[in-house]
Amino acid sequence: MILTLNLPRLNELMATARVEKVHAEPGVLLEPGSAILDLRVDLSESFAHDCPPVSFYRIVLRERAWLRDLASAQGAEIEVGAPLARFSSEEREPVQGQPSRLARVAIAGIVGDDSAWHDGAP
Amino acid sequence: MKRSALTLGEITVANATVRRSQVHWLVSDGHRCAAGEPFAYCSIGLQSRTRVSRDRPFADEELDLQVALAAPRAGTLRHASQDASMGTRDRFQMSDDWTPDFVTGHLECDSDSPPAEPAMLRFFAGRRFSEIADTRAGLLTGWYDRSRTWAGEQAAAGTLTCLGSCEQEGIVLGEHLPFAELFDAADRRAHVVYVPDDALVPAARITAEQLARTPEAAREIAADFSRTFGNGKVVPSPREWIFMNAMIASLLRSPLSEPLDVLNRGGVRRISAPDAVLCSLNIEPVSLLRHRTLGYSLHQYGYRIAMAGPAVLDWLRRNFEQVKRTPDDVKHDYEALIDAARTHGDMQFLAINAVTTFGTEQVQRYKQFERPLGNVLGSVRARELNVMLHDLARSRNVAIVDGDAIAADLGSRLHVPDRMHGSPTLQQEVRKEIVRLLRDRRVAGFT
Repeated sequence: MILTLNLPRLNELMATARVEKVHAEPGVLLEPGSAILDLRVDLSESFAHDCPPVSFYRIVLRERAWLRDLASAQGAEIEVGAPLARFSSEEREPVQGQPSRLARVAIAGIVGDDSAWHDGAP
Repeated sequence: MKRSALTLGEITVANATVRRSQVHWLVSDGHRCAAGEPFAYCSIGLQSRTRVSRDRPFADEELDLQVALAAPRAGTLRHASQDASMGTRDRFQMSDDWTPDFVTGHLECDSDSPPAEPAMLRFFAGRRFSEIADTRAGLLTGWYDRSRTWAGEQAAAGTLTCLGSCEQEGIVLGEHLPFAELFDAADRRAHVVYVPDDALVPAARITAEQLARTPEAAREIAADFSRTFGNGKVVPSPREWIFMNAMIASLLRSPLSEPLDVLNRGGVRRISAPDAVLCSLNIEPVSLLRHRTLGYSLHQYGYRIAMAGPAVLDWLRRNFEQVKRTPDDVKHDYEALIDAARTHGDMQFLAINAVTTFGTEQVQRYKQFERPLGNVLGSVRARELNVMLHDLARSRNVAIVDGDAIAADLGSRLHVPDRMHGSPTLQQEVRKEIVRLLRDRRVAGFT
């Protein structure tokens, strides 16, 4: 069975999210509770805003599945609804074609680090 | 129908003549005023009759000292016949004398009222980040590192200083005239001070350090900044100089120990310390910046540093290290702040707690997150901070403004979707809770 993960709308005003960290590697069997990605949502990315809330989220898989591919690398900006990853229930199952359903994930608001401090990209 | 002339009434200030700008209307002719509702305002100035002293009243606020005129009773306001158009000259606080019998307008009342009576006075003062930040468009419309209001009919009874954050801005400054909702909720007798987080976020540790800082240490910080900002690889733009100057200027002040002048009809009084302080747990960061050699702390939101420009970020990186803050560290910061503040006066402390409800969070099992959970999960950190606040309530008698419970009651997703910026309904409920707590604690001006 092929499962897919698209970027969910984490905030009503968000247009995109940035992949802050990739936790999982393609080709690996993930157990329930495995972290997949950390995302950074900055509302100033969608429009100029005084005091734009910047928030961070972690997406965690809630079922056992093979991670087959990730659509985006660290630092990529993703639009709401765009594909993030594909999974399969069997290791060598073909992933082409329509997915059976969305992967079951949990979303948690996490304590983010101020990336401007680290990446030098103000 | 009785018609009552609204005059300015007397203001007496020792060794000074009170002058004013022309009167600016806040409501239209024919507006039905409630008792106590401001209907007009003007800027005022105290013209010294003696040699001007550096220690004169309102020395750092004299460019934006204003007074609102409020209706002494309910009635229909009629503008006095005067030219409605304003020249630049008319906006200056020295353009006219403050004449007690000057009639600003008339109030048509159903009940008995005297032929003439003074309007009620409500004062406002703003301390500009820079003297050139001149915006005379309305009441407190400039860019201020501190703004405040107080009643003018009698001595302001008590002072509440609010160490601002964006969540406090709507609660304290309100949605209409500056401070109007909080001032009205406090029976219009209090003195309310707002210190914004524009240039420097007033986290507990920073405010505690400001209280303890000696003039020598302040000079050392200023000299170090002058020496080091602009000598890196990135040349600062003029905008970055403005940002950093505002930040360092804010850092070198101390909002809880600097004297505050208040004026009423009987003269000027100087207040040395507030009676109550309002803090916000939400502004306590996961990490603070600490200067590598001088050891002082600094905090500004990441997005604002990013907006400030590359030279600001470069300077901060070269001169500061990031220091992680656990809830216990925040508790110690608060304790240090409260202990230091109470050496200046018997201050009550109120703290707005953190909103813990995350509308989009769907955590079923916590096993999958690294320990300690408070370092990873925002909701857990918020809860840990709130629990810490209960410890602080016991150890330092801090009143908890339970914004978390109010948000949960009203519905967080609708009323505080990003856990920081509230709806008018939420702001009103939190404001009422603040006034209730101040009243319970018998803070003067709120009883």
